[in-house]
Amino acid sequence: MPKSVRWFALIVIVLAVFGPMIPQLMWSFATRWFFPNLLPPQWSLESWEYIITPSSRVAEGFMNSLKIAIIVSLLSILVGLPASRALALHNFKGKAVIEWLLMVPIIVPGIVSTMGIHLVFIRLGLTNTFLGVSLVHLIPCIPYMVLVMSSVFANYGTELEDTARTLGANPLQVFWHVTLPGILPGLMVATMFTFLISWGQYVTTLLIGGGTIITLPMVLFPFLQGINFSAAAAISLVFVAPAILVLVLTSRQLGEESSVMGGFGRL
Amino acid sequence: MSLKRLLMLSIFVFALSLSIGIVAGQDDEGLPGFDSWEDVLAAAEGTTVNWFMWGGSDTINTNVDTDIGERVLELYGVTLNRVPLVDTADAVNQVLDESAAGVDEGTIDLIWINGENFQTLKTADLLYGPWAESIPNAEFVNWDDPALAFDFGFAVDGYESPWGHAQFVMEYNTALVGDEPPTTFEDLQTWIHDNPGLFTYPAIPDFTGSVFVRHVFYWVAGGPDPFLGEFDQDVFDEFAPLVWEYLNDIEPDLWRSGETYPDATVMDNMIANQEVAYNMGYGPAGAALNIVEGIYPDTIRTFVFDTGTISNNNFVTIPFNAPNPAGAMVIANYMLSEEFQGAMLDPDRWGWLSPIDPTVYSQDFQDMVNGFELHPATLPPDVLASNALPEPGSDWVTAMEQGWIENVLEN
Repeated sequence: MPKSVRWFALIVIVLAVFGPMIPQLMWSFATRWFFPNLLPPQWSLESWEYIITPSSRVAEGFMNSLKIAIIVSLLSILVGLPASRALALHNFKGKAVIEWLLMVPIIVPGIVSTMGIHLVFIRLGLTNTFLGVSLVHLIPCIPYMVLVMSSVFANYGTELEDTARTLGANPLQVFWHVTLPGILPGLMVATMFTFLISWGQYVTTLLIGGGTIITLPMVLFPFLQGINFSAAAAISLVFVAPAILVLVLTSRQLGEESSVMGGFGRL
Repeated sequence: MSLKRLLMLSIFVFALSLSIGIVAGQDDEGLPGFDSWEDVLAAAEGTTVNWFMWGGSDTINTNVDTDIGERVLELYGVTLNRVPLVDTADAVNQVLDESAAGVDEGTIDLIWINGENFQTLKTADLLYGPWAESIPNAEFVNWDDPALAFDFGFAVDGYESPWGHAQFVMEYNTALVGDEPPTTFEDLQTWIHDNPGLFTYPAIPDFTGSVFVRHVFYWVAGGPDPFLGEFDQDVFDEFAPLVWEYLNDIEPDLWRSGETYPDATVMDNMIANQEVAYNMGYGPAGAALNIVEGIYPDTIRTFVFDTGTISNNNFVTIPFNAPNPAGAMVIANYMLSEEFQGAMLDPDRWGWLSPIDPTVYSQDFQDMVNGFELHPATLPPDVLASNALPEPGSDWVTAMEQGWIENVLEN
């Protein structure tokens, strides 16, 4: 690609990702901003001051969301990695049914299944706990992990693993030195998906957490329905910050000509 | 069944009914599960109360945490955990779910509630109590006032304790309407036809849209009386066509020619940006607070209809499986105190109306309240009080809402 085209593409991407956040940023510092003013006539720190007060519960929600999203990402890898490998590299009876079942959480609205899960979790004593909330987040996360990783594995040859084994590597060495480097870019993208899906959960957290586990969406969503655009914008910016950070950190993997992009082509 | 077994059974049933009677007798004294208020205070000290309430206003959130949370911690050692909700129905659903799963100890101690949500929980027998008439500060509450004894026509029976008082007001932008807003439905009709596109009301089932339509019913019927008792289809059929006629007459000149109706939060934004000239809502001080917060321009004022506007009260209630009813009652009790009601009436802090007659409190309190300087966008309490109308029964509300959808929205 010529350099000028690459620069142009970069500018378009940056504008598309960060452009919509410019009004958000302005709103978070704005007050008395009415039509027909194109720019806020007055600036104010009020919303940011509110965010740092304990009353807003933003800091508490941020930490809880972070903890849960990390737990969920790790659990997704633990469950999703073996599953996606098996689905991509092996043929077995009932494979189509399992693939379909894995996609169901994407198709069925979360609120429907969560109502039922709530009753089960109550009996298991999992409501109002971090573990319970993490487990319920896992349900919408796993399809994405499996979907991305099975396409990665589908493009992944096992020949290198065979070679390593022939040369005397034990299973752990094979995974660490051969498999993991091969799938890492895809794994990072899949983990990013699961992290962000857990990060955005509202109804599931509210029901299973019973109000004792306050996450960032629980603090943000009431404001999205309210009229204080400034406070809503400020909390929204805190909410999208990790997403942007994760995107920037993994952008190298996304940009490289890796099996991830090949994988998407097969979807 | 042998005679002996029948006899045994009837003795058993008799004994059972006797014991239920004894338990019920204890309940009549209030504060179920506790012997006295001292008992409640002792049980509450050092505990946490999970209070589920709508969380979309930073002002209310902060005020609750400071004026209630910090005070009950200082006075009674009770920690308040305020759980913000998008919709109170979320808390109601959680209690219903827990009851279905047989959970004796849930997580919700206190809910900010009124109307249909309260009726749902009380009808399903999912509330703790009765307790609200037995807490010490209940003496300040005039339980004979139908607006406190009934919540949207549904008997309260001591299962919820009053918090704030609300009254419907119309908001208007003086920059578009001038200083003399149309305060009758006839004048409003004329104004709408003369100024197409600048008036609308929220779509039902939004409760603000619903209460606007109730006012039209009161106006065509010459007052609220026909709608206060049991639902009567004949009475409804007598007035409803006139209401639909009025609303369909103004419809072509509403915002976007009445092809669609906004929801209430969007309307707050629409009046702020001059997309419409009017808004409406249950908070008489809402416009003033929005002006102070920079959400509304300075030109917004409020008015009530000459035929009056509907007022109601909001309450707090305790679910049947609250883990900490003692702490919840301590908070509810504090909310009826002179100290808190005074903070709540302060136009610079809460700007709310009180469900309590101020004369039950000290002279100092009354002097303080009389000395409050109202924001120019807030109507004086006596103007509001003299124009206050009761809510109809909730069966009436349902019929009116359904009728609006069939005859106005889908027409």
